[in-house]
Amino acid sequence: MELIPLLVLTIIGYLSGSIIERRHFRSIRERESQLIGILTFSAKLPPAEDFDKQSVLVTGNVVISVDYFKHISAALRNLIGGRVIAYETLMDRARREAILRMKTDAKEKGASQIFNVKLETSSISKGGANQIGSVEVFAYGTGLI
Amino acid sequence: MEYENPQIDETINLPAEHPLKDFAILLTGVAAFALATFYMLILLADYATRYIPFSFEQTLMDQLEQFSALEQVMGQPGDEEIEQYLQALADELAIAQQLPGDMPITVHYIETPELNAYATLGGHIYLFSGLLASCDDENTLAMILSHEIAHVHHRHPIVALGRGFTIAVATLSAVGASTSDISYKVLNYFGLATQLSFSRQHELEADHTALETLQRHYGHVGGADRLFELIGNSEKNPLNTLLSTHPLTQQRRQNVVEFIDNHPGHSTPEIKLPKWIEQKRPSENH
Repeated sequence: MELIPLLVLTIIGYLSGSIIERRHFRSIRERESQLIGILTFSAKLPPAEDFDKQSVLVTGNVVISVDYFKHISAALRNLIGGRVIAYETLMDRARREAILRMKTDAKEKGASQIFNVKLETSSISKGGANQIGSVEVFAYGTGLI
Repeated sequence: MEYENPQIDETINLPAEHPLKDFAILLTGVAAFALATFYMLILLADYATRYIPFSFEQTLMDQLEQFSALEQVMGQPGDEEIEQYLQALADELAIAQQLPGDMPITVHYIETPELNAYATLGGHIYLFSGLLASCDDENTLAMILSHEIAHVHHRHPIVALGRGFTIAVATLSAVGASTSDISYKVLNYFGLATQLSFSRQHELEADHTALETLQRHYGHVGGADRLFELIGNSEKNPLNTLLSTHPLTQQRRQNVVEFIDNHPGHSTPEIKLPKWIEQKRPSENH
């Protein structure tokens, strides 16, 4: 009897979660090809010939929630160990979305190259027992105008 | 120098496996492991509970009765004279069953229309007035009482409690309930000590011992199969623990009939219940 709400939540989580994920990936791919012209580099400094260019901080931030299906799936995985497949797609979406938002920010500021790109991740509501968490990814770098 | 950021191949970071497939494998694996563990724990509990002394059961029940007033949960205590009559019959049957002297039986007669009787910890047997109202003769009643005495004799209540207890603790630990939660829920579980359900094997064992008891006490086992006529009439009631599930009832009936066939002399007249009981007990309402 106690399993029924759990089952309903898991099914709802799977259905809504997979629809949203599919849409999100489609939008990510679209925008990635649109913004492919804005280059990102992990190098701290631009090449010497670009030293005279103006620089600006560009940022992109995203928070994505875990759905119940992923939560249960990961909880089961916790017992055994191994790749948490359910969270891998979530992290991939968050990372790419954050970079896309940073690129959009750069585009709006007129930058076409971003140096010293860094990513920060953190989880929201971490530690709470049986709580569904969210993941935050923050991307930032130095845009060159 | 020319730079470009190529589109990254998605198969590197994204798993090729469908999330449902992964989930199904995980769930089956974890469930199989949990079931195996539960089974092992139950076997262990079955083995260990045999070493709990009967006097512990008695102490436990004395404490329980003080706290939760069990009888009030089930119904009002029935007529005292009937209870004394049942107690006397049970004592005779306990002797016929060679129940050890340090395992006294206490019969409780409860006023409720339910067709049921059951045995619980500490040698306490509960008989509902609804079941007594359906008995026409002493032999059927003796079969019911012997069956419950046999449960006590074979220590089924404590084994069932041990099982239930093990499952409760294991489940609560598995779902990660906190320590205070576990002790609270386990205490609650003790409140249900009277709702023990015996396994199929326990029921068959109790039937067999009850038949031997009747054979020893009356010299025949006539009337024993009438119990199953009562059962047959009330199988609609899902609450009846004595009556249990359909296939089990069929097997039990078959075993009893076989026993009767193998023990001639059942043509010996059956003993009618005393007249005063027929007057005092509630009349049959079906």
